[in-house]
Amino acid sequence: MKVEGHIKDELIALGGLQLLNASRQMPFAYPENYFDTLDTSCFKTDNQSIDYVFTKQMPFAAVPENYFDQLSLNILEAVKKSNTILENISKTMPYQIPKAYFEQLPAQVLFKIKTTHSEKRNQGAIFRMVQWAASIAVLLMLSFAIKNAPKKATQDTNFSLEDVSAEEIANYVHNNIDEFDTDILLSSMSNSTIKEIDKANNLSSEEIEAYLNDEGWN
Amino acid sequence: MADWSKIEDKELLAAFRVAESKEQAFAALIKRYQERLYWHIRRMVVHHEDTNDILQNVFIKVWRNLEEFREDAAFYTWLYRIGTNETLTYIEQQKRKSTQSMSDNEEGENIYASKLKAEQGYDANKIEWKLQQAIHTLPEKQKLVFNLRYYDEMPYEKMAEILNTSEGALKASYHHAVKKIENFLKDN
Repeated sequence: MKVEGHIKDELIALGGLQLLNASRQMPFAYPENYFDTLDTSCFKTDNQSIDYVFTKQMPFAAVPENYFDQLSLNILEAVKKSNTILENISKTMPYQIPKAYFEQLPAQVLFKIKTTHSEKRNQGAIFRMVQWAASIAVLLMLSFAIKNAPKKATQDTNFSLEDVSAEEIANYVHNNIDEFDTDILLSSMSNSTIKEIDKANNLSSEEIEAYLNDEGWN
Repeated sequence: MADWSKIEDKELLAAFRVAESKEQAFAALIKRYQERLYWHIRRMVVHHEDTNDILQNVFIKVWRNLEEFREDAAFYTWLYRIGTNETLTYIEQQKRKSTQSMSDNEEGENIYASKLKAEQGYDANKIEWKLQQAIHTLPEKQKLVFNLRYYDEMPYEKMAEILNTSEGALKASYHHAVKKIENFLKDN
């Protein structure tokens, strides 16, 4: 086996002319048929006395005829089939909507926005009115107490405001209503407070009732 | 008179900030987005009445906060985000209520099965209804992802902005949702 091709050119270039004519055959000896049996002997172990030939052939039943030829087609079909479940369903929702719903919605939303705003404003006015009503009640109670305290004190030295019932206060206010000068009461209030009371006076009884119900006062 | 339907969102938002045109601009915004948002909500909660309540609340919230809306995000994205949050909150409340009122053996049942059956025109044999059944077996967030992608064909990038989730997670979620739906439809 002589050197050929680019290896020969390389040798010439390197000046290795003797090597050009030498045989590249190895001088070493090896057992007869060594390479013929090498593959099977690789699987022989020391404790395996019986030789066996390992083949890569699978022990399973033969693959159906043309199986591999049709495999890609079958896969594509299967993919198509699995996609078609969703692909074949209409994206139109099956739900019903009331007639003209979308035509009316903007107006409905704007109406709701306006009513929630005015409801909030009214609730604020009612709340402030109740606050003032409570303040006036306290004021009345105090004036009642101041007026009656000396007289009562002579009768009962342990007199306290807690001893005065709501009924007594209501009766007193009813009997002496002329003594409660609204102008004097109003003069002690700021302008903004008076405006709030005016607003509250314009509230309907339904609005007041609704507020009291909401607040759990009724 | 201006044709509000042809005016861009940015201009409508500017008109909203002017007292004289506030209501008209807002009505135009509602008209523009009401149907998309309606279906986004209804696909989640099934009933029209529930959808209508949520949708109106969404627009009322938008009205209250629109002046503070920073226009570095698209109005549409912001609107969807409010709609999604309102819907999820509503569903949570409904679930809590129904768990309290349910007996032990009912507890595990899917609340949507009965909602779907109560819908007008419901037909268990029709594929459109089966698809709705399949969708309502998904967890709420996966359902959202599926609906946004499948019905609205929304890009993952947009969905990521609305749902505040990474695109990768959304893709995985959608992939799982499709598999589950396919399996449900095959089995039923």
